[in-house]
Amino acid sequence: MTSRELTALMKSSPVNCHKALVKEYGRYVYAIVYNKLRGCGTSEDIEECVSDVFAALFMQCEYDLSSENDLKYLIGTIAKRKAIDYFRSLSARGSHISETDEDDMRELVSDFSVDERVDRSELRRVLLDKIDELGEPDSTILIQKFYYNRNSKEIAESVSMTAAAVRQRCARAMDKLRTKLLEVGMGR
Amino acid sequence: MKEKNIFDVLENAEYDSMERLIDKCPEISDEQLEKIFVMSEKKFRKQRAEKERTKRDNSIKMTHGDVVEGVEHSKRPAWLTPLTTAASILLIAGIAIGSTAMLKRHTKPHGDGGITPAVTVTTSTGTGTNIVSTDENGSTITGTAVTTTTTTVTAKASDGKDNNTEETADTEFIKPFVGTWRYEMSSVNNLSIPESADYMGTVEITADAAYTMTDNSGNVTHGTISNAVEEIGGTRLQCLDFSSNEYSGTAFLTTRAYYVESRPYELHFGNSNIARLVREEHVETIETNWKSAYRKELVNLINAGTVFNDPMWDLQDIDGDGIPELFISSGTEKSDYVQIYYYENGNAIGINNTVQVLRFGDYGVTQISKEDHYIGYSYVDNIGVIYDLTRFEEHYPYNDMFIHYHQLDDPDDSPYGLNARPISEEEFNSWVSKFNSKNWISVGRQYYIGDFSPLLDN
Repeated sequence: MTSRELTALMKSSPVNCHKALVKEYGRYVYAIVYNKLRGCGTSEDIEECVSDVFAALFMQCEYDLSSENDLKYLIGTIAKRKAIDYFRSLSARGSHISETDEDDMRELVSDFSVDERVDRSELRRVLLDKIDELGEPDSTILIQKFYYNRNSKEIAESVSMTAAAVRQRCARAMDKLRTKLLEVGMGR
Repeated sequence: MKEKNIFDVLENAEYDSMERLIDKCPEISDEQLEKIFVMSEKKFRKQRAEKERTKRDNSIKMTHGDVVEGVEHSKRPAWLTPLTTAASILLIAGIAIGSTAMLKRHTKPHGDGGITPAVTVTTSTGTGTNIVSTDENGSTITGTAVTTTTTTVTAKASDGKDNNTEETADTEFIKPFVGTWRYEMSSVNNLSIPESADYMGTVEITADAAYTMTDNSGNVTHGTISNAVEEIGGTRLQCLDFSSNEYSGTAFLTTRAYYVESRPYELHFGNSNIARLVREEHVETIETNWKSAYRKELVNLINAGTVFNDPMWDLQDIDGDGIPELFISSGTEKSDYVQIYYYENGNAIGINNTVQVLRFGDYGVTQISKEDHYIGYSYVDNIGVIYDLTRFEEHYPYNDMFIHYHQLDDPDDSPYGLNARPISEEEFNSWVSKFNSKNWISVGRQYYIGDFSPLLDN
């Protein structure tokens, strides 16, 4: 959706326009907010922050939307700023995310020792590259399992497999990833 | 405690890594999207209503010749006026006849000093009508008025001499205080801050040295008042001691209230300036200016409870308009910040970019450069070295954020950014030079919360 399309939609029906924005950019905003609040907020905090982002976006649409704006960039900027605000206040409160994953897959990933001296950006790039090398659906399963904290049943729905198959693939993919990371000198 | 997870390094991702994580983000269910939409819409409507209200308040300007229109007309039945007139005449006539009968009895003593039977005087305080009457046998004549409280004083049987003089003398002290009073308490324990005075109830003091208090929840308390005098530093102070007949309802802060001649409209409880009775007709004149607006903001902060860990505040004029801005610091931790308010049309308004109220600084302080009206701060975090530079002009923040990233997803990316766009090293350095050239002073934590002295005219 471009800013011009958005402006036109706003004129015909603001509520429908808001719905369309949430539908189109909900996942995008969620991913950005999740990335910042994953370590310090609960799922309710993340939902609150996402809804704050959209409320701010609706305000911008109502009062201050220029048709020259790059909409995706604008939404991304609002999302990052709001998420940082939430991160600050949640960190100040000292709240922590609660681990609710029911199975023991997490043990697999805790074996890695992250060397804090390694540049995190490089580490991030290498990790994502190695995960991608596993191919689909393994890369999606690992990211959704260990980064997005989804359970096997939820992942099974998104990759059209059974929960048992997801667990099995996840364990094997994690073994493969461990080997790949050892080859490049990461992990122990 | 959460175990170290290698996937944690994916947090705070930028650029390409973020895009890859967005691609793999699970689909959000329709129910969850609907929930987010409903929450967002609710927050949006609230923010819009707030903004519209502020806009509307700011645009109302009454001039001398303006006429208020659109007042609702009320209709009353035509027969109501003659009926109420007739009822009033009857009531007045009743009072006149009753009073005459009583006066006659007092002017004609019973013979040769015989014993007068015991008499009960009933004083009723209610809908504005007092009825005082007895017949010769000592029976009380009751009126038609609705009564809400009754105090009964029974005079001793006399030997024919009039007891009335003695009774009047006992309650003489209360005469200057008879009437309706508001009971007020300060929410910040300081009635010098007029914005902090909360209405707690209405107190009716009657000529028989009794009182009735109706608190703001509708609870009614009755009690009596006795006379007292205190001498402080050679000055005699008139005091009233309030004694409640009940244990329910709102009690006064202390039992003793003091009267000072310089403030004839007020009876204050204790010496702490926390609670007082104010005559109903007395209207406190509060000048509306930046000081009153900022006092109100600070009172709201105190009344909101423990929003911040260790708040303090400050006054500094950033934009050089002669009216200082109010700085409220949230505490002293790394994540603590400063919110800045400016004065406009009687209100303190948080500096905002129309989307959100901005927060400045870290560790609860920020820097300002008064000469050229800038707010600025810099800090280091896991993204890089971040500079935030805001020019505050005509009550709007023109903000630039420039960053030297120390992590890059793509080695080909520029490690320098301005407002989330890549820039060259030269451009970045020129922004840093601009930042460093300012005559910064660190502000935000000059006064303790509860210290209103810089905001009081005296």
